[in-house]
Amino acid sequence: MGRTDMYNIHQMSGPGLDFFRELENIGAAHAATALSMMLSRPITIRVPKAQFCDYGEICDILNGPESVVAGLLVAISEDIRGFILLVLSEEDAKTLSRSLIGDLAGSMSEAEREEFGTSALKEVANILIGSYITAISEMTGLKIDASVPELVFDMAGAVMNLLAVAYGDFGDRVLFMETEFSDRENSLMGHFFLIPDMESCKILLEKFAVI
Amino acid sequence: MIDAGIGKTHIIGIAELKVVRAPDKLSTLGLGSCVGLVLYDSVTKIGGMVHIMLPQAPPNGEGLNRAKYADTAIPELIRQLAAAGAQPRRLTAKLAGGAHMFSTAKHIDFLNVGDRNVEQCKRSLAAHAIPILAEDTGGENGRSIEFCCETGVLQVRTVSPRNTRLL
Repeated sequence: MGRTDMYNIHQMSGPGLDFFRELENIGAAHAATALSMMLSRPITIRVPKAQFCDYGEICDILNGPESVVAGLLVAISEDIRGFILLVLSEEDAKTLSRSLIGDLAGSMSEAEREEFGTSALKEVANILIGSYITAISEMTGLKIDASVPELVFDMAGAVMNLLAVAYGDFGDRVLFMETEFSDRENSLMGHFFLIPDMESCKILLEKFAVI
Repeated sequence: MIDAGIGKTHIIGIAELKVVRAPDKLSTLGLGSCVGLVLYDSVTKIGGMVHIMLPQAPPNGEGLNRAKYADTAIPELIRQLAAAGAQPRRLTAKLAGGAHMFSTAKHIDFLNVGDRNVEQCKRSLAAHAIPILAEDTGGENGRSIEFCCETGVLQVRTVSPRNTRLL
């Protein structure tokens, strides 16, 4: 796949990527702690990634573009703008919502379970993303505000389109920040993507030079 | 060829394009705000598909991937179809995609591209006098498409709700 070198964001190298990796690490660690408390069991995170990759590679980590995923999206604003996207496989999302509804599920109709499951997942996203943002905000001193989470179940390719589009005008690669969190019991796995817009990438990197 | 008659399915990745002839098929998976567009010459049974990501190429876009933008992908696809033996005057179009996956993203200008992708495709097709035979665009669902160069039929699949349409 062709690559354009006309935009200098792609020349961001070791230290810049290390910084984004550190952001992802701190944000996700806080989110995992929040999830552990919510579920009353330990949640661990894997080594976070921050790298540039081709569009096509993004979907490979999610079992291909047609696999069904739950995508939870929050828009961030104030000092930095962009998105945080939390992606779970359909199965993991259902397992998670079941464990959140817990004993109540028995007394519910199918429609009620679905409705409660959806709002439970959104609440998880709220808490996870809230703690993720707080951690990043504390580390950088930047003010970050988050919108109400939106949940969709659809093809991974369609959900991840957002990442490709966010950086589409800046070349054929995307800045990809990802953390997997997992629960040993259910091997629950989620992917956290921090998607700052280009301007915000610069703000973060400038801030990093100051720190 | 020994396997003549058994068409191969070519998968088109995001911001890629390809031209093939019958009995082969063209497919692209997981379209969100992107548009999957097919141009077809029903006489030679040569078809081309592109997975378009954004409406317009930046003005100083030399050396850019032409398949990525609607305004550059369509002329490029026509050129490659003609080079393969298709008659440009006979080309017809079918398109799918251009959804809004998240309404949250709809308020953010640089991500609100679903509608703009579809509009630019239509403008570029009109500029080349290519008629649109069918489309399944907009909405809030992801789509996968498969085009059969033998029949000229475009199959559109969605997973939420689970559905298959023939265009």
